[in-house]
Amino acid sequence: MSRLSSLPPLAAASMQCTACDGSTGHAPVAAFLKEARYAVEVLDVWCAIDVHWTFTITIDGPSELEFSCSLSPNASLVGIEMVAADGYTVRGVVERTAQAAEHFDDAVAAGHTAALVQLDPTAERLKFSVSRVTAPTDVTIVLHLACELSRSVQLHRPATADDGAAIESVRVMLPGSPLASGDAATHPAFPEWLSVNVHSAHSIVRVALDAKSAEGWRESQPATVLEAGTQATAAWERSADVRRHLTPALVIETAPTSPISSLLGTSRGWNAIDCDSEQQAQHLCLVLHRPYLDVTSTSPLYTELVFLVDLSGSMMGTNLDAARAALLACLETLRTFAGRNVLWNLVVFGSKHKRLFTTSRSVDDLEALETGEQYARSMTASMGGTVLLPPLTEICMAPVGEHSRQIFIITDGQVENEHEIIRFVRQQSAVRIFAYGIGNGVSSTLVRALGRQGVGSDSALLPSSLLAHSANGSELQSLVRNQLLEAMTPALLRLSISFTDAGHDETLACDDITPSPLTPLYAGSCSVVYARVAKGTIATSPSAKVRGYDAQRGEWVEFAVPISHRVPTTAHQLGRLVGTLAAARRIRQLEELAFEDGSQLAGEEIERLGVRYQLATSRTSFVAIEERVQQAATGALELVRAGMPVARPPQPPPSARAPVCLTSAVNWRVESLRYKRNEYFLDIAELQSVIMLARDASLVCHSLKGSIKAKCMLSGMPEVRIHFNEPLQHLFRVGYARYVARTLTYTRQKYARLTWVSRYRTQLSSGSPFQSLGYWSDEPDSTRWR
Amino acid sequence: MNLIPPDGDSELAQYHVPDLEQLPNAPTPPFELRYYPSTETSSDASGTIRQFSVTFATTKAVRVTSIQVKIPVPETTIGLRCRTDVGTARYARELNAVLWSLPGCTDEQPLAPAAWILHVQLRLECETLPQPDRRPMLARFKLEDYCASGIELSGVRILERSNYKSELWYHKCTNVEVEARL
Repeated sequence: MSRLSSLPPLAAASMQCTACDGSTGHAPVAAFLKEARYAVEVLDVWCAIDVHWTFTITIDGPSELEFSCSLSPNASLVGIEMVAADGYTVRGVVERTAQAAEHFDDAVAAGHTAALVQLDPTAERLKFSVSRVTAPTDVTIVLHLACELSRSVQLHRPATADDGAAIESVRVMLPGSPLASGDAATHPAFPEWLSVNVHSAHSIVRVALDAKSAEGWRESQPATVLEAGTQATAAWERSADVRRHLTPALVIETAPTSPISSLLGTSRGWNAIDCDSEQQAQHLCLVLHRPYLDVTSTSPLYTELVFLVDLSGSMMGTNLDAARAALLACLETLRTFAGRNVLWNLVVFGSKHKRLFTTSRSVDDLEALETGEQYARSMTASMGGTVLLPPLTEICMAPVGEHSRQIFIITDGQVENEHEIIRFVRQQSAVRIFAYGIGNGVSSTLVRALGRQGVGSDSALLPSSLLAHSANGSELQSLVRNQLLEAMTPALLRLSISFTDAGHDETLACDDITPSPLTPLYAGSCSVVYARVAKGTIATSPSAKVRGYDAQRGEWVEFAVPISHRVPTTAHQLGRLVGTLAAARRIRQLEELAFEDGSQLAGEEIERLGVRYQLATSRTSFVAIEERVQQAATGALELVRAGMPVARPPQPPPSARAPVCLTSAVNWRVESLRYKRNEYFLDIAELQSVIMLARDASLVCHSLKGSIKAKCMLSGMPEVRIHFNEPLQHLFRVGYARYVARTLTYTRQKYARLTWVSRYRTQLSSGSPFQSLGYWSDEPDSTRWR
Repeated sequence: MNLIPPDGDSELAQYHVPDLEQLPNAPTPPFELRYYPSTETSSDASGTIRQFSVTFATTKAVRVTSIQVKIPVPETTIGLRCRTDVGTARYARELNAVLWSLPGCTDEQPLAPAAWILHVQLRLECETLPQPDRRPMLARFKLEDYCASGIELSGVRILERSNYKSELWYHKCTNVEVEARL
């Protein structure tokens, strides 16, 4: 038996970016990112991003490329293309995930070049598999992304009376580089280009690269600053000499024309054609906006703030320091709201929970604030597990009086009953929740869902390193202060929207108003609402009537928003943008619903929308297959392509070779292995320890150890894909299971006991993934009692 | 799990569950080990006679094999008689225990819940009853084609460029150690 174990065999499964050779075995394989191009087109609060990543693969024969990249949570993948060096393009189509994976596997098995792109919504990553690339060649992967621009809390600038108008900043996040951070330092340098085209209803004040990521970039086309209604363009480039691999972020600042005193002055409506031509429908879209809070005002706010802080054992260390710093910054900020009718309280929770004060105290009570600060300084992470629902229920059920209640949740852990919590929060229509996740162990699904399902508008996942870094700095304090200001702002609650056409009094019949129910409209934030109407029902310019309850003034507010803008269909990418993003928003809601109840209907609807609007979702994936035809004369498979033959790219010098984790040189196996019968054995062996009472056989406790072993007797360089059911995946999720990926060093004597037992060999019914059943195992040792 | 496997034997994953109750839908143990002491004792000139019974049973249709049960007996035991229909039982004086061996299910048997019983008659050297023995009964056996964790293989696919036909073999078993407290 050959023993080759210099690299763990499972490395291929865990790498960020790998290319594995299907032909040469131990020969080093190289795959490099040759260049990256980003083209960004911004339309109001939407954005279309084209990403071109060109990889160079310097081997002969078929190879496979695998990599992943991060994707911002409000972005959707709406298209992929695979372009060969000669310009031959294969476009990806969306299919149900299982179906796409099957087509991909079949295509690879049949010898076709194929690409599969799957979305991992929990990790917010896109996984790419490109198989059987006929290298040496360049392969360009083109991604088409659509996203709603997200505001960033750090960028909020509360307007003062002197400004007259607020500057609104948005940040465009590009998808992360396919290079893993560890690989970036050793990867050969490559050039990058970035071009931006901004269509805006407002004057654009500035288009720039984010200061943190602008290093090494040169402005190749200076940004134009233009008046409202036109467009601005800018371009940057980074030469290959500069060795850095951070993907840049764009910052676009626009100045609303309306003064701050004008309530809802900047709301606007858009009219877009649906990409679904069969249905003959149109999308109407409203961007509702309220100006920022005037902090100089002294009017009463009628707000109750409850800080719900996780003090479970896992908060110990930097997480607790970060939570403490955030809480102290909050309490410090509260002092500025003296005399404005603001109440506050602190609730800490772990396995149990306790309130600092029985009833909420006013911020005018300085003694209570000092007590709170004292408690925050001395609190320790000693309250056991993370049980969130009871304290949340108690806070929400307490009588609130005339105040509006806001809850700030700071947690670092995972809870077991996520579904129950989300279901409970969804029912609380009068409570606004801000959720902050600290550290790496936090359940991102829960934190995001809390922010969305409650009427709260915000949630944030904050790495503890960031918080620890800024625990004493001004960054965290400004973040918390801005969030508190937002929490204080009066909102328009119980929103309802009806669409009318000019000249007609009748309301337009529209379906699929997203989000449903409508979220409250808070000052300083944008709320985007999509609606779908049948094509032809709109004769002239439509408008929307928005009605909401102003809790601070105690009155209903009604205003009209003209839908006067039309999405330019001529502009590249923008024609279908709004319709696709409306579908993406609907899918996001359905995914939360499916996550909450495991609803089958929601899952089917996600699949339907994903396939119809060509969106990668949790249940749909992109697959692109480059078909080949069989030559009748020779029987050989040949690519159907036109164009110039591909030249072999120059080999990089040995010092500049890509790292092993990028190239995936398979040095634990040689390809020259040959077996007469190609067999693969899998064995799940468990050891269960049980303690029970002999009188009634009742269980005291039982534990389990298990191991999954394999025996490979396969020729050549095979790839094995193994799928296990939910229990094993659960064990990996909760950290009870781990990959070990090591070659066993059985002695010959031990190996001799791994005998094949032919009497268990039975044929399974057709359709089973197994052709036959059997087992080998250790014969039971002669039992020796201690 | 995607991998290019090394040739020969390898280990892919390990797992350890300290308390199976924490797992959602974890199956309950499909076996029982019970102890039935008899309250009747009798004495004669050579000593005191005491009796008890032990049962080992499966509650579900599982293939249990290689069953070994160790039943503690008092140190003052001077003689012992065992009666069982299946398997063998012997007195191991050096261990102060009865070792009961059962073959378990055979391949020909249809899978169904089953039960085995062992009757033991002890002869103790003194007339006064000894202090009750608190050592637990121990059992070791093997459950074929069964995973206590509920893990199942749902699919395997082997891809190789020459598209040769390959055979896949699959086996699972659970070795069980039971401590039954008296």
